[in-house]
Amino acid sequence: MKYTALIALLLTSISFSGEIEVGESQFESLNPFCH
Amino acid sequence: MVTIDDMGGVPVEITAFAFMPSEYSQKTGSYYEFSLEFGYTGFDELTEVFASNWLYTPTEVYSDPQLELTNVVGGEWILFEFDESFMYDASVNLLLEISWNGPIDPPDSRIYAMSWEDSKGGALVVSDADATKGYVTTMVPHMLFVTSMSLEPNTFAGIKSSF
Repeated sequence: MKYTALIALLLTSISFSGEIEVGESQFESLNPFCH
Repeated sequence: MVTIDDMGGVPVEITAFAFMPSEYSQKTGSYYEFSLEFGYTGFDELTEVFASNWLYTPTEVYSDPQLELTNVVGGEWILFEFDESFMYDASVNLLLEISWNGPIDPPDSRIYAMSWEDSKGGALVVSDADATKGYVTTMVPHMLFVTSMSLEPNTFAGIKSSF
């Protein structure tokens, strides 16, 4: 017996939320806000 | 400047950005003509000329004619949520520019961000929003990027089997 199967996989848009932290809190800046 | 490795080495959609204020910061701050731009740089270390560091024209992701920061708490991120997200393609290093104009109002409303010592000159600073040159420093702000990693719907798979 011969079977033919057609399988279509549809992956809809998937989002992953995350955070990227760069550096650390070593020093307090000498100037306001950024530096 | 943030390296490809620091960003995780893969394309990400950046939806927000944050600084870390120090515990000695004032709780409020006001900044005129505040602008935050994101883009790319082909350098691993910045040069003193602001414009020459950009690989392409940057994108302004956040702006405010008069930014008012309130309830600032040391150790809690100051978050800027973008109107439109920035798609970082991880091809080269990420470069961002923050600028604002004085005077700070009121004069004592000063918010200080925490920094760290990088091994390379990853920051370029000057105390004049209209300046074309600054000084390169290894003191880089402690930063946070809020991201969204998407799988686009081009991952269709068609399978046909006979058995």
